[in-house]
Amino acid sequence: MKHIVKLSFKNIFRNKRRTFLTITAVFFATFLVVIFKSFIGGLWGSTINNVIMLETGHVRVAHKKFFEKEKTQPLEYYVEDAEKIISQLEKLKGVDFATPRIKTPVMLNLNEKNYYTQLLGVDPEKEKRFNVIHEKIVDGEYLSSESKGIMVGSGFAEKFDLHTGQRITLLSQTVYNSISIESFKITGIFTYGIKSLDERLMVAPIARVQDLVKMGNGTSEVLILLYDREKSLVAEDEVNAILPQEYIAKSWESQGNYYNMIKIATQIYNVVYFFFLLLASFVIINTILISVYEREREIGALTALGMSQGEVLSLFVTEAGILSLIGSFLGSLSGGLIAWILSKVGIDTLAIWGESMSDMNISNVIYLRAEWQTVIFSFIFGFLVSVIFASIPAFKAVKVDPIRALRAT
Amino acid sequence: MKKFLLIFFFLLCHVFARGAELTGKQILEKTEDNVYAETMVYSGEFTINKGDRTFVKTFKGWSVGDRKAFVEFTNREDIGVRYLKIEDELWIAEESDVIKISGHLLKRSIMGSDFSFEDMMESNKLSELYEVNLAGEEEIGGEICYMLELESDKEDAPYAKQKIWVGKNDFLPYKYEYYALSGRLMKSAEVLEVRKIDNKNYPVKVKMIDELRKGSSTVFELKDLKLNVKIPEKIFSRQNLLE
Amino acid sequence: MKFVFKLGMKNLFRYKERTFLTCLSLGVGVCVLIFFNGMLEWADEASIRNLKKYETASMKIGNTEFFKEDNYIPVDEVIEEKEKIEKILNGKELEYTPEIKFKANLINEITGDSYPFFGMGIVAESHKKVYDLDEMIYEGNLPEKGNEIMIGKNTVELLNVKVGDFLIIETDTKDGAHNADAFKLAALFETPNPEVNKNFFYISIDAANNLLDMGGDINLISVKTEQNEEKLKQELKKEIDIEGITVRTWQEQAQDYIDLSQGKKGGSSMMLMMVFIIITVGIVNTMNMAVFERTGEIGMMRAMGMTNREIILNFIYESGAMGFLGGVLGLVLGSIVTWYLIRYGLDMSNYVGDISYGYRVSAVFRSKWDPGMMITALIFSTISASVISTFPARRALKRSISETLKSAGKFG
Repeated sequence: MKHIVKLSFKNIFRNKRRTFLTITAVFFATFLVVIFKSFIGGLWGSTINNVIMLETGHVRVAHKKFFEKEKTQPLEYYVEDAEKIISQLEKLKGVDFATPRIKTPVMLNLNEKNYYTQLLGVDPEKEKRFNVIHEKIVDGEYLSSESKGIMVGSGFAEKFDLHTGQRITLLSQTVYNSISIESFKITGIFTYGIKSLDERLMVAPIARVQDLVKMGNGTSEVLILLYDREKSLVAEDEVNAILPQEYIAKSWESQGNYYNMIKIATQIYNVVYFFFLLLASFVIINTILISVYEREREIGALTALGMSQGEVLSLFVTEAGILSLIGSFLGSLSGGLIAWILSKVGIDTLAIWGESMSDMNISNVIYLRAEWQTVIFSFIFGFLVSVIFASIPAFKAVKVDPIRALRAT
Repeated sequence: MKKFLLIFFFLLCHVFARGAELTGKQILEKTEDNVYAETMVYSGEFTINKGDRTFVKTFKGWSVGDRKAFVEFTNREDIGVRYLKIEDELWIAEESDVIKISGHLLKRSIMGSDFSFEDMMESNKLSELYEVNLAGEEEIGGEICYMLELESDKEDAPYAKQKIWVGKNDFLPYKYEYYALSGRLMKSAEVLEVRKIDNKNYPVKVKMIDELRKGSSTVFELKDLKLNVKIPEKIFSRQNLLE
Repeated sequence: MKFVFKLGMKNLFRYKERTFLTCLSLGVGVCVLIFFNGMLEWADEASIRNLKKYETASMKIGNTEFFKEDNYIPVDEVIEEKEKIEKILNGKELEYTPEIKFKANLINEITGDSYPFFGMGIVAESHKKVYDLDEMIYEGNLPEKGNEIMIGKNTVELLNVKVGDFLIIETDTKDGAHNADAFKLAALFETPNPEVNKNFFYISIDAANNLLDMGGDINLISVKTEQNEEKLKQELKKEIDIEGITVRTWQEQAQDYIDLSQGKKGGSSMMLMMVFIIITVGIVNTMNMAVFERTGEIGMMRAMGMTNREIILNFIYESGAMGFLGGVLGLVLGSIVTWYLIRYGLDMSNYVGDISYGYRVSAVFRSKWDPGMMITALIFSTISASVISTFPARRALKRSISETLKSAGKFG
């Protein structure tokens, strides 16, 4: 066996061009496999991020009946004494922070007509930590906890000709099933990049919304953000253990149909990934095949010199193995590195291709999802494909009559 | 001869007796006149039952016929909320913020109760909107009542059919039933209490029941009611609304 | 030049195996590109498809005032002269279905729960031709007669009911009178479109007519077409020519909540780019192999007096031809695959894993014709093959003639 390995190495260095080409093919294939998968993971991740940011957090806490009747946005089922619950939650290991939210439909009275829109009450400081909305202000300024102002989506502002500094009067329901009216000054306009928000959302400090809906110091929901998103199910159990029994905690996975729809889209991309793997395999196979055919004469010479078919085969397989080992290793590792960098920096699809993702409720910057599993998978994949597909033609080639092989030009 | 005259006379009485009977429309009109007041000044209470939750709201109000009304809520949770109706326009205010309600929003319920703005805004007399038939008599709460059936094919009528039980003796309403176009009972209302004011009996406590949603009902009670007193015009002004 | 060209072509046939392999690899590359692109286009249109199949149809015709309102549905804004419109649609042989859309509460009498919904009065037979909702029904059938109602899976859970139970629809008639009636839950559906699942219920148009006292009027006509929607819309507008009637394409309907700028492709550009790269790698490798092998030949050609330029041209012709042939092969293969996918689809339900709730059709992957991409791929294949082959050819030319002649007899 040892002499086969030695001979393999010799052959590899002997024909630098072929070696280089084979390694390159395997390198690129494995490199792109990692990038591709990371990109898909990033797409998925972006979508999840948005759902988490806009709706569920990693774990969401609310009154049991609030969840049941969520469709009607029932204000009367709320979490009392929000601050107390929040400080309890933040003491849990694994919880980064918790923040309150109140969402209520409100009516805006303009020019004798009434229009419906959504008002979101938030803790402005805490929102900054996981919501990017403070970076999306196009006019005026972001909210502060003390501010009496309100932020409005740019689509909405445009539609009704609103601007910063303007006062608007809103009518809302209250927790007592009655009506409340309050005026707000528009202190900021945002462009989130997601149509449904820019056209229908208003954001105000939670204290003002609590007043408006007469919720005292309560809140409709508490969003919990964890250090590790993957641990949301565990966190869900931990939180439920400490909550008073009329409230319940739900992790982001167990909420919403949006999740299912996106999951399907992701499955489609996974199928695409599968076929990409096929393509990558083909490139590798192609390179190896050509390499083997080229060396038909070599095979003939070797058998003529006395090497057994098995030995020749081993030689080819070993060569392919070494080359693909190197190629796969370098390719998957570089892929992983680039993916890691892009996971921090992100790809701005709008800037590069001028395409907006906002219809899928995804923001335009995609952060790749770099995972060790992908790198390792790609490495093994590249290696196996090369070795297997080097063996098959080699196997066929060694059966060829040596004289014929020698004669081939 | 005597026998014949007796029969004739008997028949005559019967005819006159028939003639003296009121039509449904007349009964309704008489009832509406009975509950009509030139002006009303009152304070009262709304109790809203929604199955598992109950809300109690108290208020003060002034009205001129059914043309103008001003209501101010006085319970802790809703203090500062005021409604002003002038003819068929409605404004709601809280502290110094005002919103005008119009169009389809008038169909929304008032403060979550089983009464809608539309119900309260109704200026047209029922007798004008509906065709009234006297369908019989029934005993409600110990009183013999006329049972009136109101049917409408007019566009303004919010309910295709209504039934009203009016006391035979006092011509006051005892019970209402509101029917959907399909014939299904949607709401019912019962007058729970009647009080003597200025020598006249007046309904002061009404319970409205949502017949479609189990456990949903509202009780409306006037605790303090003065009829036909003079109300200064400035009550029905925007200034008053904004305080 | 003609000579060089002829030489190039002769060479192609001389090395049949190599030519074949190279063409094959190019062909497969192009085929995969077309296949990929087709599938990605199809996939990216998923949300649009869901809109058209279950919500917006290709376009809707209605009263201008009806379309204006945002949150509130003015049921009384009906379609005037619907017979005229239907005649025009029939004349154009378009599939269409009349509808009554309204807002209502669904009430579970037993629990007292009530929630607001959009109600649709439909004509089952024509509805099936315009929408694919009937394919998404997992229990029962589209409501056709009597007081039957169909709701989405989310609603079933929300209202806590099952088929056979009764729900009360509470709404206002065209004239504003209150109405409520009991309907028997006869069918359940679940589409990939969560908005439809959550917010709509369906009853027969006759039941809606009675419920809303429409007197035979309708407020929407939904139309299905394969043609360009904008074009059809303009045609219809002209022909219908009734003031107060508007035709809204699905794009216009979707504007409200989907940002449709030109050519939504999501992340598919990125992926196609990666596919291009890997194909290029394949071509580079193949060309390199193909050319370097013939280093000896190059030496011979030079020895025979061909100029460098002629030699390079020779390779360009050869490779270009292979690129072209390979591209054509790829086009043919790609077209077959695309056709197959469009016709039969690829049923991935076994591999896609637990999507739960019994989603059906969505686990079948299809494709889309994109002639633009096909032409691009062919051009790309031809040009890149020719261009890339020049590099190894140039490298080979740099070596001295004697060196190259030496390798003529060796393995290399």
